[in-house]
Amino acid sequence: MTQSKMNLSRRSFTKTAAVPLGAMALGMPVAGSLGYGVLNASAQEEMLEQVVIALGSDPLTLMPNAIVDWTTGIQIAHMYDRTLLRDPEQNYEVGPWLCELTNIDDLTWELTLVSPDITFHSGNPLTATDFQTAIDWALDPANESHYLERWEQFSEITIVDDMTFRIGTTDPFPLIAERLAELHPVDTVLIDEIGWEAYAEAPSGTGPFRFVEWTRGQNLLAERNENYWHNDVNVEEVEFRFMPEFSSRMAALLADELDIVKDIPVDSISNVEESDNARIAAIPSSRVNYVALVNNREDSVFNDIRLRQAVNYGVDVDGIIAGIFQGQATRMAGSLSALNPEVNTEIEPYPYDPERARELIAEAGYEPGELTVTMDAPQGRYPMDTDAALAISASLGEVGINVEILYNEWGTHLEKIVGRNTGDMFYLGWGPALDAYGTLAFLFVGDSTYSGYTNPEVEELIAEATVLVDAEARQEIWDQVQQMVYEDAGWLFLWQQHDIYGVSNEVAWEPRPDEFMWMGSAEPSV
Amino acid sequence: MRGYLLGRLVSGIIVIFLALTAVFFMVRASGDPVLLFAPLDTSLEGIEAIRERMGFNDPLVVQYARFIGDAVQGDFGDSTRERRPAMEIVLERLPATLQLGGVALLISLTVGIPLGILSATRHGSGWDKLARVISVAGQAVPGFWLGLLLILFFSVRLNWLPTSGRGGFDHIILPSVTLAALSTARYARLTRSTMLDVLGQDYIRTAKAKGLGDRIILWRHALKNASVSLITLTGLEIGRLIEGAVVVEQVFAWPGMGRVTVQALLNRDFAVVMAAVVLFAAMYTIANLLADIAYGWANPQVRL
Amino acid sequence: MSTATLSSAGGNREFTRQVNRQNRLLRSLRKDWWAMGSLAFLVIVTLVAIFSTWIVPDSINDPNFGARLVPPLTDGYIAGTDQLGRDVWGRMLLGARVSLTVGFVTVICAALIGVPIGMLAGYFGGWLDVILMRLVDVQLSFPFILLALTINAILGLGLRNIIITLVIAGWIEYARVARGETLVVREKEFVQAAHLTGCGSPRIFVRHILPNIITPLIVIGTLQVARFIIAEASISFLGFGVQPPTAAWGSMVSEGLDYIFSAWWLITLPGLALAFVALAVNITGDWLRDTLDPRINT
Repeated sequence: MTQSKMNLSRRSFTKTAAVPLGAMALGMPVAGSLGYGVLNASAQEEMLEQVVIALGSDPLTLMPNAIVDWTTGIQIAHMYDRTLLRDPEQNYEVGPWLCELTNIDDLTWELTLVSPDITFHSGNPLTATDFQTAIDWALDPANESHYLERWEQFSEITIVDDMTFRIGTTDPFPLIAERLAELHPVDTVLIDEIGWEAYAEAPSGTGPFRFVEWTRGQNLLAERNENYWHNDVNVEEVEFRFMPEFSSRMAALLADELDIVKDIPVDSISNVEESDNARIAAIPSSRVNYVALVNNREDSVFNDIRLRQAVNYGVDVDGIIAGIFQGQATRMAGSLSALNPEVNTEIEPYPYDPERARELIAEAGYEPGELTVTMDAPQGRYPMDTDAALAISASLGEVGINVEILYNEWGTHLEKIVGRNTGDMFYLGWGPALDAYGTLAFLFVGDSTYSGYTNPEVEELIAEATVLVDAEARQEIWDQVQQMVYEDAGWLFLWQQHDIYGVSNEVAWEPRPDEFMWMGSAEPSV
Repeated sequence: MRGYLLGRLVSGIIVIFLALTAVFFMVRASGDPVLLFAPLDTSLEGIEAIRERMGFNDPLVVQYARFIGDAVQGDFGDSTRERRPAMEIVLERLPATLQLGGVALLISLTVGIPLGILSATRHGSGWDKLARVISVAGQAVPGFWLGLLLILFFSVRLNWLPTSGRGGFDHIILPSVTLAALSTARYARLTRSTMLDVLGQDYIRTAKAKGLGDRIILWRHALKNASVSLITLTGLEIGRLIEGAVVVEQVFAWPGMGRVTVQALLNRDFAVVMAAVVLFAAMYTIANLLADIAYGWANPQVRL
Repeated sequence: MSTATLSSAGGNREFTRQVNRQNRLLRSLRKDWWAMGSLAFLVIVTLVAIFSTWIVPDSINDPNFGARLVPPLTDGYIAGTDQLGRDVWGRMLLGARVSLTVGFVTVICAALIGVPIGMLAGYFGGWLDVILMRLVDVQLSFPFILLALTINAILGLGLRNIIITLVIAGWIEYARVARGETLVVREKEFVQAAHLTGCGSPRIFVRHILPNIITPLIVIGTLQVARFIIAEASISFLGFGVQPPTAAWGSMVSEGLDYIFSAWWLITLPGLALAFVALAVNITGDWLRDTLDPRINT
């Protein structure tokens, strides 16, 4: 049908004059790097005419800094740059992107633009004020921004000069780098001209692609920003096509109508690999799946640590990963994934030991088969969640705990967790989780929104780490917390899911573990 | 005529009002949407604050009064997810649904009626059998399943047609055929049975006895009489096509009203659901009105 | 020949009429091979549904990773296995139970609610009739499937909830038909006569009206069975189905969606079963209508 979509164009383009220093330091693929580019100039000039990415739904808005939603964020990120970015070369710690972050004192942070020549798509130059405008907008409650709570520690923003500004915080805020990684500066000059409402309809950012058109329910088009400050963009046009059904996405990929599809089910991997058009690009995601063994509620059977441990000994997690996921999941030892820079690497997974599990259940005072618990689970929210829940239940049945699964519609599932109305176990995924705070402080503090676990000692330590700016001291506490919840068997520790993408053979692009799907660095395959 | 139209309008408004009331209380009973759109790391206080700000903590009756108060002024509220007027969101999808339903209706009329005529005039022939098989099978195959099979065969295997989405002419073929399957079956069946009925009537026999040609009898008498029930069916069929579109739009990622409403239900995006209710009810009322008018035109004995 | 004329002589002819009806059915069945085949098929499926829990081992839903996605007619699996290594054929047999339960229980419950209300509204008219007709309008104005989804969103997943949902969404059809038929029958002499001789309303309803409107209701009920079976599958497909691991044809298709490219049998076979049962029910319904009361157009 539409084979023409992917034809490579030989159209040449002029390279931007300067490759900024910041980009080199980050080690991002830069089209104009020395050596290769000089020797193989013709390959450099090949460009992808169009990259079509299938997404499940429309963006909820094109206003940056408003809504936290993966689909929305991915599309906005093609048009807007982030202030800081997780760096694949640096273990996915947050590193510089538009700005560089310096710590001045416990309550003050300074940000400096990495280049004076960054411009918005409108042509207006990027200045420090544009960051302030964005933060101020999000912090105005009238705008209902999801970042209001995430940034509420920002008490004061001072513009030092066009290239520099400072953020003062109410409390010591070690998490500031992660938080600023989410900030997109906005085009203040343009907004003053046309107003916020018009701006949201016709965005102007500094990103690698310029907004063209959004046909709701169908697609969003963005074209190459030939003046992109960071690197040469090798894609003429990006199309996000909205396709809610996996089967249609998959069929379109096999029919060569699409270039990138996320979340290919493991059993369809071979279909993609056998096709002439596409390949599989899989990567362990930082998103973790676990089963909470509820102990922050009086009536839960899992207030007994022996039963929590029994569950961890009694579920054949490796067997499930091999059997259901075909190996496309990575076992977690404790509460953080191996990808997380703050993971405690000394923790080893609970061994599968049904005998030990039976003993613990007996010690807790239950005959085999006497104990019946309910597990709440979502359906189709995480890869293989329906089947994994069944397998967990079957595994526990063998050691003498009957697990009745209650599948919920997603909204109901969340409501039950928040209302503490779940069964004594519930299944949940969490991520992208690339820092300790983002997981531990939310899931191991008894009265936080989605937590099923409480332990006063753990909570004390978490509170301490939260305001500790000294990275090393903080790491020590995080290690300790992870060790404690591991021994305390706060969850049934499961796995990191793998993000499995189907990628057209004509596109050179590699996935990242933080689900940041970005065509700014995509190239034609050679 | 004028009084009739006015009466229709009034009863249409009453229907819309009742539908809104029923759906309002039903969707609110499923909980509120705050957890579905607030980021997972929002604190309990943060969630409470959002609920308070958006009025979800008010008694249901207060929320209902507020909703109806705004609705009479044409304001159906903003989508909690997309943060823009809900009616705008639904109206944007209306053309896609009308297009899909229109093409499907066209297919079922142009295939179903001739098939029904053939099978009635050649009662007991191969055509008759074919028509009966189609009409029974068409009503037995679930729309989503038929759609999936068509995708598998024509898009994946043969690579002839796009799998989904709205675009050029080729995009609408599979969804409209899927949607038309059921109503084609109904048209074929109804045409067949009414034609058989009419052809057996005395006046047709008289016409035959008078020596009128088969063709004239068919067109001037039989079809004209059958058209009355076909028009009635079309009035109903429009409603059924809209209903079928809900599932078909989901299978083929067709950006229509059905899909947007299913999504809104899943997301508990109440304002969008309510706006959709209004539009669905309005479409139903209009379709019935048109059927009535056409009915009167085809059968002058009926006075409006 | 329609029941209305047949029965106009009065309620005392009840017996003859029933015998007539049965004879007529049997006679026409012998002539109609399609109807006979369908009916036989339905009887078999019903038997399977009733006895499936004995035929199929309890362990049918236990995962068996060693035998994942085995194609049909391989290693002794008639219909292959699914992603958990479960026997698809065995699950399809169990699924017959769900589909038929949904189909028949829903139709019966909907009829039990709808028919009395419709008869009351048709007989007495007045405010009850006004309310009923508005309800009919309201219900028709909102797509059935969306209504079902809305109710299901409140009730949650599960077979029982699906049935409740479909009953709530489906009873009104019976009320509509029962009302219309009652309106006609009410004016008949024998009803008027019964009224004059001092028969109480309940007696008139049960003895005189119901027998005369039952035929169209049976026909519509039969055709509704297929509609409800398909509706259950559609609801499952849209993500509001039964609780796994319950095997239902609709939810088997929707679970099989992820394997549409790797295991064609997972969506095809349960879908086929669904289509065949719906087909058989429709043919049977058609035959019932043609034989009993050809004037009903559905």
